[in-house]
Amino acid sequence: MLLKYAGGMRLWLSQSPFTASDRRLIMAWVAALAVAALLPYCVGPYALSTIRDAMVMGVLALRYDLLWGRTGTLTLGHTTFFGLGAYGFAVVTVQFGLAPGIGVIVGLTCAAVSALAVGYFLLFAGVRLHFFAIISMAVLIVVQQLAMSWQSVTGGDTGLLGIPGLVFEVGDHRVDLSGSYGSWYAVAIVLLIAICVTWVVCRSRYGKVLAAIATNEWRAKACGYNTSLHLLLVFVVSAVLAALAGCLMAACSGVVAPDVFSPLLATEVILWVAIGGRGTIGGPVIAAVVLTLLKQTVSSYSTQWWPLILGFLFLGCVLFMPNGLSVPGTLRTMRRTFQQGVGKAQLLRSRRAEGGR
Amino acid sequence: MIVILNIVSDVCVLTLIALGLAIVFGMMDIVNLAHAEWVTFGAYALAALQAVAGRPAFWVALVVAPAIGALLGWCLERSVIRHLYNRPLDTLLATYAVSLIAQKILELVFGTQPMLVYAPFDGAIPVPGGSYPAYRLLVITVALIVTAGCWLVFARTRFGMQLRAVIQHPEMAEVLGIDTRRLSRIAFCGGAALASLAGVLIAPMVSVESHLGVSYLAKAFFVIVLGGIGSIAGAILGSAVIGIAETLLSYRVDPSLASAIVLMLCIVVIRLRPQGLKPGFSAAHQLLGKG
Repeated sequence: MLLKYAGGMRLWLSQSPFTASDRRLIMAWVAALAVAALLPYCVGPYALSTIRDAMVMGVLALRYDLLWGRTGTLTLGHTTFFGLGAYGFAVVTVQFGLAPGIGVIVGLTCAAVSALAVGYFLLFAGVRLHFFAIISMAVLIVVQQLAMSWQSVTGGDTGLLGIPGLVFEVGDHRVDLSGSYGSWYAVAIVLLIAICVTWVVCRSRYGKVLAAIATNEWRAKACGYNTSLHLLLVFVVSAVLAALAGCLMAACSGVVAPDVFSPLLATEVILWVAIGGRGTIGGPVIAAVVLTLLKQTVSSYSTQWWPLILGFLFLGCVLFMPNGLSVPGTLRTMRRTFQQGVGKAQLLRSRRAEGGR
Repeated sequence: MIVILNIVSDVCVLTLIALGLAIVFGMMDIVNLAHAEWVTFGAYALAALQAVAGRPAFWVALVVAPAIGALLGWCLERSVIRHLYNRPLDTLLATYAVSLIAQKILELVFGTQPMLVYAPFDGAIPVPGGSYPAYRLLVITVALIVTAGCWLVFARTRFGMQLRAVIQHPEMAEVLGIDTRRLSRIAFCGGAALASLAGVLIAPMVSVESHLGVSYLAKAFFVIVLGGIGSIAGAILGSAVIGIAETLLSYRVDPSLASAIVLMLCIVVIRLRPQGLKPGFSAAHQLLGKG
């Protein structure tokens, strides 16, 4: 498997890495690193922890972008794995009193195994598009019910409290990432590494394979790619990434409640990616951070209104901004959307009948 | 006997909810995630009417709620879905947003506490092996009548034939002079009305809250995917399988564990038989490798 892509990797490496168009990218990276390193010294502890929690959501947005933006697999229930990661970490550390390191491993394994099971049965059965989305939503609802009713392990409605921070014992050294600076750097490093890896993967030949599957799975299949296997791989990887975000969330905030499985959070994730632009890497992450901060601002006035605002934002985004936030694109889509209803009746499904997705 | 009646009433409710979905989903290839909200609308309409006119308003609600549901469905079709016929995945997302908005608006208008709803009559009817609530028998009867009516319309009328033509091959139907958009709109409103009717019927048996519909939604979609898309028989068969499995399991284990087990069973069945138990005849789904 690895050998198959070695050629592609060599080709990728042999190209000149820094062209003129890459300069902006490098600038962006430098800026991101500088912000990550210096921000703790510029803002107060409360703002720092708020931004940190928003950045955990950035990891979540990134992996959803990997799944939806790159392979076109829409799911409505990907927070299942986020929650499984958080609960795996919390149950192991609180109920069994084991080290946080083991908690992370258990959380990730939990999510990976369940993603593998669900993904195998669905993806290899040819379940795609909205079927996949709906079934994943059903999985989310059932997992939420389980989390609420399985009192003895998950703590029921209240969830689990007093989750320890990330403290690792490596040999004689004790790495403490539970303080406010420590957890900030842990989250920032995980986010930046995740962005970097996703970027490399998407730029390589593998990214092209995923794009091929997203544009036309049948043709990709005809070209000899085992599309189900590739989709399953991406599904599991993104589930693990989500679980990692879940572990970070649990460790940073110290609380896990069945809220993590609520459809509301799942909606927010989709909204981040939709607004930030599907298939771009920075967009969803920035959108996630900004919208989470916005949510906290709105919620500090009234908790009632956020879901309503979220719903309308989402609706507007789907109707007018299918390619993310950009003014000319939005105006174009708006015009097209409204013209469609007025103009001549089109054949309903001619475009889909060609096999495009 | 009681067990059988329990199963039957469960299956009937599930069929009623899934039926509207089956028509909309199979026909227009539209995944209406706001379908559950129409169930909730039905239940709230009943609650509001009973708050005004007392218990007998149930019979009024049985007629008024579907009308309200159809009207709201028409509004949704005109304002949102009409623009998205060519973008199926976006319809899913848009209706999802609509369901969020609808839930919140219901909460803002009626408050978050459960609404008061009464069955039109109490009492139990003796059956072999005990007695059974009369209201549940009413539910079974109404559900059977409505399902039979749907099947008659679908299979025996000119309108039903046109509907089937649109499901099977929309372009060809259009060429033959069928107004597919009008038909889609009618079917959508019909599906919404059926959901509201189901909402009225289940309201006295559950607690009426703004997220009442959501738990039924996932099940209803499973019914459709399991039973086969675009066929009424598939919807009935699917609800039978899921209803029976869930009711029997919930005698043995915790209800939420029961639904988890049913869900897993469904996923396994879908792996083994992707086209559904009783495949429909939708052209679009065949292209998607489904059906």
